[in-house]
Amino acid sequence: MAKVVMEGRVWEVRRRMNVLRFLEKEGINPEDVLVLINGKVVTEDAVMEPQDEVKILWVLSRG
Amino acid sequence: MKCKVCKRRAVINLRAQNRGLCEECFDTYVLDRVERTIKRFKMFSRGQRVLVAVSGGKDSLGLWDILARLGYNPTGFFVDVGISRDGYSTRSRMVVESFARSRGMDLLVESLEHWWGKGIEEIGRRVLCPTCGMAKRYLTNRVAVERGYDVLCTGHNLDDEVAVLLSNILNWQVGYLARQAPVLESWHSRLTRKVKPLVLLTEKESALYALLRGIEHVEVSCPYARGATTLFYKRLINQVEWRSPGTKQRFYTLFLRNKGLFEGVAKEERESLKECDRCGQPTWEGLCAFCRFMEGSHGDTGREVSKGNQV
Repeated sequence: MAKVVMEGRVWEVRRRMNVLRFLEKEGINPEDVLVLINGKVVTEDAVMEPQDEVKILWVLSRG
Repeated sequence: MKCKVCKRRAVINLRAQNRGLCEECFDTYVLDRVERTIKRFKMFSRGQRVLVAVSGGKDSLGLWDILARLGYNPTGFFVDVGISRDGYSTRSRMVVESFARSRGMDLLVESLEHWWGKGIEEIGRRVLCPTCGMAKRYLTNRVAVERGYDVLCTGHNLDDEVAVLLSNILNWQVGYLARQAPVLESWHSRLTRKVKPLVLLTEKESALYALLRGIEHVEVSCPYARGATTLFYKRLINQVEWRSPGTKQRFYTLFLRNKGLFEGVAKEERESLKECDRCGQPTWEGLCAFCRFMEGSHGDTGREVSKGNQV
């Protein structure tokens, strides 16, 4: 299963899933984050495979 | 998604421009975008003395890196405000010093402790965040002017500007709206010229640039930070942006096009600038906000600090 990590939160995704679908499902706006799959930055249309390590980075600062 | 330029794997989807870009083409895009911003708003030219205010965050370090790569020979300037909680100021200073050392770039460091004998935790007391912002603006301006820099750059990005713009419109802060611009001209010999070369780059683009360039930065917010409102506005605008790509840039650039609406207020402010009776810095009153605060001349100093959204 793919392991998705974001600021201390961890999800385990059991099946192939599109990054955009995952973000929408979790209520995360793609404009607010960068997504890395196995260390590589990807766009929202990338697919998370069961063995992938996914990191979501929050990009907004308090200004 | 493929890169629109070279068809390699894209690392970002620039929905506002309806194109994806790969790592290499994104790098070219960022350098080009910042160079165009500098030229479009006539910010500065090569050969001028450029000071970059750096905090240790992704935006200011990214800006410093970009300006150096574009050949502007910028000097970094870090203000150590003396926040001891979680070792925040020391950690930020180390990040900035390490960045400068690794790239062989010039860095100036000043501390509030050195200038006023105490750090912000002691100076600011109950109103730490606004006082910290004011002290940094005050010291940065003074150092830029007294050391003869032609221009002071800050790392404000499009999201910062749009969040402040929305906040100022919702509260009809006409004075702040009159002053908000990518270039703040020097209206007084003791007021430095301030520019924001990242204003047309989104926060996501700035974060991606820092990531791809391997720029190590301070990832945690200041332990005293209370910027929940700014963050709320940024998230709100990003929701609109996701629904309607290009909104952020349209909102900001159309505001700039209509800045003339506030010219009356801006002119009034320029003409009423005088010098602080105590330190000589530009102010609209007898004492500048910082000296007024330091002297506590109005009783409860907590109410003397501006809580507006100056950028």
